[in-house]
Amino acid sequence: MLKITAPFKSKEDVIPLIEAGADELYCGYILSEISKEYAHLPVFERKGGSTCNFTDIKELKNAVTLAHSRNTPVFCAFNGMYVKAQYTLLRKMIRHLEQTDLDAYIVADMGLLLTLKGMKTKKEIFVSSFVPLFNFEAVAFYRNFGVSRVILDRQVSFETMQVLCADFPDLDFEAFVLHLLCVNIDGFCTFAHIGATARTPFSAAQGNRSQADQCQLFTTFDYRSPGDACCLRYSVEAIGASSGEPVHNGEVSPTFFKHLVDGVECGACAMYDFMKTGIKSVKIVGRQMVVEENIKSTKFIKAAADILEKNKQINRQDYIEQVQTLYRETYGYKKPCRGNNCYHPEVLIK
Amino acid sequence: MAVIILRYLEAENGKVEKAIHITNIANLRYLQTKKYQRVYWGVEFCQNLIPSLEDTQKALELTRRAGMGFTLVCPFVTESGIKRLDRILAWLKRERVCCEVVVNDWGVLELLNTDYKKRFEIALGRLLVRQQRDPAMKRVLEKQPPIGVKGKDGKIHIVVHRVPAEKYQIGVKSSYINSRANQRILSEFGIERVELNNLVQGVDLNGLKWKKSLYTPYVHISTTRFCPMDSKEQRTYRINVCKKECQKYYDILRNRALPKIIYKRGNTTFYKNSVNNRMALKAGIDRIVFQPEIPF
Repeated sequence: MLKITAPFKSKEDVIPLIEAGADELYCGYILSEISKEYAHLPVFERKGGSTCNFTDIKELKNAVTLAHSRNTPVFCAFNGMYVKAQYTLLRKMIRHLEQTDLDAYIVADMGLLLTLKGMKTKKEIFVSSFVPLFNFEAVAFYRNFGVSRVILDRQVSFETMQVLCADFPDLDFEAFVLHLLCVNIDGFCTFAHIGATARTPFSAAQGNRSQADQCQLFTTFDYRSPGDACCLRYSVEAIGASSGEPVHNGEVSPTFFKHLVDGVECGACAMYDFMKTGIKSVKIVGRQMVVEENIKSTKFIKAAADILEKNKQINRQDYIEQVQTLYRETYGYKKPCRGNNCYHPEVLIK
Repeated sequence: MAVIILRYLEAENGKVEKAIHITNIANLRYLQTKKYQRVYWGVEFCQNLIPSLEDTQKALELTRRAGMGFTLVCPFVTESGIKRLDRILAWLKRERVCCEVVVNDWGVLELLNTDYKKRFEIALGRLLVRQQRDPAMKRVLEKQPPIGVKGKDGKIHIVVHRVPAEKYQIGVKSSYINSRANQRILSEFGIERVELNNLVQGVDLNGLKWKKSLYTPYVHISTTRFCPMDSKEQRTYRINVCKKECQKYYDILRNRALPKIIYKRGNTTFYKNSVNNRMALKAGIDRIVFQPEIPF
């Protein structure tokens, strides 16, 4: 059965998520010094700051102990690509984490991976989706570094998943299943999610932001939409490649894809195909979300996994119909699923 | 600290090697200008546009006749793309062509190290260098006046921008490859050169011991395997039914909040930032790669 990997960011989240159906948990950890100098404007760490990560190593240690008491492994994600000056603090973070019973690190930065090997960690190392690996040779390259799991980018096809799972039986492969679908490949994108903090003036009204947190990137701020540069409401104009002139012949209707997402981004329908390819676990995105949202998501994915577990002969179409009904009940989405919110829209036309 | 300051000036003769990036056979016409010493042949971002072996043979022949250097540019790839690249690499090996290969995929680097060990000079491509390429980055680093914004709650919020700390400012101009440890390990895989974007916030070359190429004028921001070009089927389903619309059109994206226009060609977005050759030479760049068209 597919394992469900759910995000958490406090000790209080652990039991509710496990009871909702999570088989594994993952979190982040950040030192306040890094948060002050780098991750406050989340460029180096995709989910930077105290809102998405543990900042107290004792609390993380207790959370890990609690999760282990329920036979649930815990992983710590480092999705940043770090610059030289950050390594002193990174090593300090690793030394803290080595004192916990954490099960694995999820790593994107090659330098950090080498640092972990150099510090002779006994914990497993997983390759983050921020190192996008789309072929056999790329996985082979990273296997040289002793990794034990590969978290695949959302844009890896089922065919590639099947090849990788078959050719690397010594590795586990994980696929994303819910939230934050992005048309761009995470590992190749540096649209900085700095405008996202621009939403916090609204939460400032609730009085829960400090003076320091009032630092915003308002230049990508558009109060009509999320502030990240990749999500702005652009005017889009098609230009002829040869003429350099605008095209108005009706043949093209340019759109910026991010404008098309109108619901919770989801890959639950694709779990049917994940099972066939040999994928071992599915990951829910959401370290930045409130725990209630993550519990809801975990329950939804668990229900989808249960459909597959209870009826191993179910065909794809029946499974998809049941899961889409579940999705509409869970998230109140009224329209038919048509690919714009889908991780793997190809399942809709099979 | 070597930082490139960004202004556009006429290129002048110097010790900087000038390369031109040609992505298909029709664009070989750019070689007629005779002001380049090297050809970059191939694509960085889309395996559907990897040139055929036959076109590569023609391009190499023209390059040789012109007495220019040849660099094969490889995109990130799936299994099918690896096979296409392997066919070209195998031919280059058979013909004993010593050339450079730009890798934008770890799998291609692995292929070069297993089947073509020490056969080609390897450059780490822009996709793997992972510079901070957000077009708004310059504004992040500059002082901005406070503004009042009406929020979703209907209230006016005063938003104040604080200029980031110095370490942050240096960090967004550099990359993980500035670290000697990372360079050491990647050098074991044959990397001798690094391909760089000309970032709007500047580029920190401190600690970078490899040879360095700087691309102009297009800085790539992001890329995808779901090509969001304009066919109705793709809009509805996001299925990758490539009809090579990118050869006929590109999109311009504008928003008043961004200081740069975004160009979207096929599956990749860019902004423009031209390079000053004199400053590049002073900063230790030994090659400028000119892209006459929006690349893909």
